[in-house]
Amino acid sequence: MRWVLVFILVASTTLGDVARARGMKHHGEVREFHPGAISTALWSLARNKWVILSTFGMAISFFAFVRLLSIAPMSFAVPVSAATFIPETILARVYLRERVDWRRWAGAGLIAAGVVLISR
Amino acid sequence: MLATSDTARTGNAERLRAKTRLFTAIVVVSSVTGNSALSHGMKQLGDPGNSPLAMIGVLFHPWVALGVALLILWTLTHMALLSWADLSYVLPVTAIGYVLTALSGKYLLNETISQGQWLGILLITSGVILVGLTAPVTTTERASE
Repeated sequence: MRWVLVFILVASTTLGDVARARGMKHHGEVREFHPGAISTALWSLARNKWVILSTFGMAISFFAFVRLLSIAPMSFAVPVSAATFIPETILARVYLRERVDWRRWAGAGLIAAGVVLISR
Repeated sequence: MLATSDTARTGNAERLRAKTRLFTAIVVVSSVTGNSALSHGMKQLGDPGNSPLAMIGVLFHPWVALGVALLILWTLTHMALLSWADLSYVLPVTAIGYVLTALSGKYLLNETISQGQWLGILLITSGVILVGLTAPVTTTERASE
């Protein structure tokens, strides 16, 4: 049960983040931050299919995390959630076509290892 | 002519870098404080049960309400940040939140940090610095307005 939840958590967080990045790039750089511009942007984002998909992923991820915390300690739930760094960095490279140089790979690896140590 | 367009490009890169720093800071602080406020409020309340009415009632607890407001701020600034910055940049640099959570536990709640946890803090911080050295935007085909 524990590992099924971990799989759902990692998959839905990855979906949430990658779809959010895709949808927001499609929207374009947010440049104005006065209330009128923010509500216009929110209205357009509410109809952006990638953003909708991302919200769906984030919601599943949130409930999977809460559920995982009810059956496993924080010292298990937090480090396993850092596993998302691997599929997300790979998808950022192949799907979002970002330039992931050695510093980004090494940084993601160091952080994932650090999260495992910090949550013990 | 070439010099002017180069200057413009450098100016734009500088502007994006500054904007990225500011938004990264807001994303990290809102996530760390939002999660702490939410967890503090939920601990004070205890188990609210599973009825939908009880779940809605929880939202009126001041710490929970503060936590939810901060997490809404997190969602909006995280979305704005991803509208220009790479996911492979945002994901690692915002991981500094793990370090802030651990350090605030030590200095605000007097929790102890073990040697292994200090090593974790060191690894995360070096990873964040390493990724922070890269340009926040590397995709060329960004949607124009």
